[in-house]
Parts: sequence; structure tokens; C-alpha cells
Amino acid sequence: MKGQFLSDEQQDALQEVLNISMGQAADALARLIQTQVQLSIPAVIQSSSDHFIGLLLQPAPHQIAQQSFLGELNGEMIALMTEQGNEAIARLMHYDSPMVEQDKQELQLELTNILAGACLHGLISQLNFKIQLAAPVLLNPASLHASRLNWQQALLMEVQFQIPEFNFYARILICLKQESLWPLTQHLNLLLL
Amino acid sequence: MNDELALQLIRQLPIGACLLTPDYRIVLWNDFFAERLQLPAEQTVGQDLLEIFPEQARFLKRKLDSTLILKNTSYSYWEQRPHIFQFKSTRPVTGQEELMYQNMEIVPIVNENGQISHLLLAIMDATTTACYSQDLKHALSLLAEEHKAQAQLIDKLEEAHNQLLQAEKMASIGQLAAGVAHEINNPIGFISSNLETLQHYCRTLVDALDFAGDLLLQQASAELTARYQSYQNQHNLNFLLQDMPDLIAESLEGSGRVMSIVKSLREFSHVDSSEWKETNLIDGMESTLRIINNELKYKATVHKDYQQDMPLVYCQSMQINQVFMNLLLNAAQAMEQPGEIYIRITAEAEVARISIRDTGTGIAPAHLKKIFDPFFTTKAVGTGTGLGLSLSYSIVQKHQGKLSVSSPPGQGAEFIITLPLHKAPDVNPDAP
Repeated sequence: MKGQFLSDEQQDALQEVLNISMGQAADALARLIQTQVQLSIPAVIQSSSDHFIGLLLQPAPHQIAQQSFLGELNGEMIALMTEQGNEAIARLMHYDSPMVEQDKQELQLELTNILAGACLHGLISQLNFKIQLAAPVLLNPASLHASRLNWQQALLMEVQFQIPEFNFYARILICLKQESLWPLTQHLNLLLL
Repeated sequence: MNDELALQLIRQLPIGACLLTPDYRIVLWNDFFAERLQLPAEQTVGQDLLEIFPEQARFLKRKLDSTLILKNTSYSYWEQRPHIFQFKSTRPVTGQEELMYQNMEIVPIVNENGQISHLLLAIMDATTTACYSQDLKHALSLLAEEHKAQAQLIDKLEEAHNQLLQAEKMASIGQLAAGVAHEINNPIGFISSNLETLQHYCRTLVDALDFAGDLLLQQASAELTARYQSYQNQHNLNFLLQDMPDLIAESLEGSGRVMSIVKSLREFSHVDSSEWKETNLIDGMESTLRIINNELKYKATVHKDYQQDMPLVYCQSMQINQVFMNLLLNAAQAMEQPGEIYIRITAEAEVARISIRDTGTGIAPAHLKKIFDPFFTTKAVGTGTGLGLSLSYSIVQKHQGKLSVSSPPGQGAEFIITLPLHKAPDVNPDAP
């Protein structure tokens, strides 16, 4: 299937759903750490596997974690975040300071779960999906190669969070393979009726 | 399914299941928890979870609160936090670990109003995975270490190969020098002896001319005197007679120097000769200093302090000279600006002690332990062989002696060689 994954109407509807759910996610994080959180306007991108790998391998000092969701909608979320600001966030979340390596990993997984979980939570509750989340895991980008992925095209929903106070920056990608898009378009169509 | 069956199912689930109210009170405590912690449900239900496990209270509260606020499942992984609860390992016989590795999930239970009524805390046993993963990591790190060691070995081998080539080159240069020295020795011998004869002849000739001049004056023949005078003036005879002995004396000195260099070269090029004999170390040191005079004279002033009546030392003199040369060259190379080298040769009881001290840059404390290692060098690539000191060390050791070094910061370095004066009873001179 070449061409557009979503019709213009479907794209608009998805954008609207994302706007609301991402707002909820930022709100959840802000409540948890009692600090102001800024977010970008969510973007819906049609991506090739090469482009996707390129996103993950950016030279910026990013930590990468992944979290799967399965059920009526199957896909994965990727969280790229800076290490900067981690100490400050850890304090707000009542971690011991200074953090050892394991604490840092735990915090990163926790933040992934919070951000990605919150993003997805809004999306699925509005579109009325039943899904389950798997535990987040750390991802080694060096182990990823476009040629080894078993897909060519995917839909990425991207949103960026920032906590200006701590120079913290995170980028969440909700990724659906082209083959897994059908339930999404069906549910979007229901909204458009 | 009736309630009782459901309850039994939960109790017997092969994972730890604990149901909590939003204020952390335990509602359900299944057998997995009760049996592994030896804490029956009667003692926990109705209690505050955080009070029963005060050590983990901070962590658990953080996780439970995050679940409450975000209404999202919260996770904990064995890799970051292996032992939340003190469960005994599930492999008491075959396992090496004491405690069970655990994954935890805290799942919000939401009622019809969308509010969280309960939290399910589930514990999964990840011991097998954890141990497998750790073994794998350990094996990988071993492999990486081995790989690194191998790479270092390859580097060393390459270095050794280069050094061997260099050593071979040096050896052939040494042989060439010995050959040249031998060839020069004969002509310089007769040049020197001829010059001595010439000096004698010259003296006689000068005397003869003086005698002739005196005779002419006594004869008072004005014409003869005038002609002799004019001849003398024309040929600058006075100056010639005055300068000739100086020229011959200088040439003799020069040929003497050539002879002494040739002698030193010949002595020195016998580095491979393993002849053990009673040796005067001071002579050896002097011969070495002559050889490397060119290397030293612009870099350092050499101060010598030799003990009077220094006893002879039973050693392989050529090899000991080689040690002197290595140490002296190192000292000179350690000078960033012209400095001093102090040489002291003394005898104490049963040993001879040779100290070579310089005012150079000294040796970094980190390097002190390594300087006798083969191929260790701080000189630029291609400049130092990294063999000089290790060779010196092995030569001194073969003599049952000691080569030690000290380098107080900022005060240069001092190398001290101690050699037994007499042949030790267990020394086998032919040993390699």
C-alpha cells in the first residue's frame, strides 16, 4: 500500500485526539513532579524504516527506551530523552541522591512509563480501544538496523516534552506498522460518523 | 465461576499478588507472598504495606503514588532493583544467588466511576532470566578482556619485531665499527711512531742549523753572514724553526687521540664476549666515557668521584661497560637543559657500588615500576628502543648484583649498581 495512510479527515481527527491526549499527558507529569511542563504540537508522520532508524540514531546525547502495547491496537512507543535534568527530576520524584547507574536507569524507565503511558492512555481512551502495556525496557540503538526490521512503512505520532527549568527534553514516538493501522482507521472513522 | 473458586485461584497464582487500598492497606495477600515471606495473611491483611516493609517504603510509596496519579501501570525491573521483597531464591540447590530476582507491576483497578478503588501489586520471579543474563554479561566482559589482551600482545609483538630489526642493525654497525677500528689501528700505529722519530730528527735539525748560524757569526765574514741572513729572511726560517716542533707535537697528540678512540671502540665492540675476569671498573667507566664523549659534552658536565685503591671486580667487563653506557646516555637524554652527571665508584665490604646520578627531569612515580620492563620507553617513537634498561637489568642480575633506581620529584634520577667483588660460589659464568 503506497500513498497516504490516512485520509485528510482521518488525519485531522487523529491530530485532534492527539492534541487532547498529549495535553493530558503533560498535565499528569506536571502533577507528579509539581513543575511546569511544555509540550510541542503533536505531529503525525509517515515514516520509512530508514527514516525511523535515523531518528533513533541522532547524535544528540539521548537515552532511548521502548514500551510495547498490545491488544486491539499493536505497536510500540519509543522515548528519547536527555540525561540533563535527570538529577533534578529525580529529587522531585523522591529518588535518593546522588543516583547510581541503576537509579538512573530506573528513573529513565519510570519517565518513559509516565510519558509514554500517559500519551497512549489519552489516545486509547478517546478512541475506545482496549490495550495492555508491557514493561518499558532500555534500548541500545547500536543493535538496530533498518535492514533487519520486518517492515517498510510505519505511522509515527510524535510529541516533544520540555521542562525548561531543568533543560530536560523528551521525545515520545508512538509507532504503528502499516499492517497494524487498520483498527486505528476503523476507530477514527467511527469518530467521523 | 463462583467467588470461592476465584479466591482460590488468586491465592494459588504462581506470582505474588497483593491487593491494596489507595491508602496502602492490604486487602489480599496470596500464598506466594505468605509462604515465601513466612508472613501469613492473618498478620498482614488490614495492615499498611509501607509499615510492614519500612526499608522499601520510600520506593514502594513512589511507585504506588505514581500509579494513583497517572492511573497507569507502574513497573520495576530486576535489573535496576533486583530484590524488592526478601524472597528466598527459587533455586536453593542449584543456584548461587541468595535472593529471588523480581519484576514488579503495580496495576490500578478502576471502578465504574473511573476512580481507582484498588491497586494490584504483582511480583514475578525473574531469577532464571536474571542469572542467565548476568552469566552472559560476565562471559561477554571476559571475552572483551581477552580480546583486549590479545590486541596488546599483537602490539607488543610488532614492537618486538621492530626492536629486533633495530638490534640487528645496531649489531652490524658494531661489527663494522670493530672492523674499521682494526683497519685504522695499523696505519695509525706507524703514523704515530714515525711522528715520534720525526720529532727527534726535527730537534737534531734545529740544533744543527743553530750551530751553523753560530759558526758563521764567529767567522766574522760579513759577506757570508749577510747571504745567510738574506736566505733566512727570504724563507722565513726563524718562524719555520719555531713552528715545526709545535706542529709535530700537535700531530702526535692527535694521533694519540685517534689511537685511544680506536682502542675504546675495540674494547667496546666486544660486547658479546662473555669473558669473566678481574676488572678495574674505573678503567671501564673511563673507556665508556670516551666513547660517548660526543653525546655528553654539550648536555652535561660529568663529575667523577672514584675511590682510591678501588679493588678489582670479577665480572664480564664489556657487559658492565654496556650498562654504564646505557645509564649515562639515559642521564644525558633526561636533560632538558645542560645539567650535571655525578659518577661515584666505591667499594663497601663485599660489593662494589656504582652510582650514576643526574639533574635531569627525573622519572614519573607511575613509570618507576615499569622502567626495567622490556620495550617500556618514554622517548618518542623511533628514538628509544625500550631495551636499554631491561638489558642492563638482566646483565647486572647475571652478575648476582642489583640495579636500583630512585627519583625524588624534581631532583633527577639516581641509578645504583651493586656488584659482588668476588665470584659468587654458585655463579656459572657460562649460563646465558
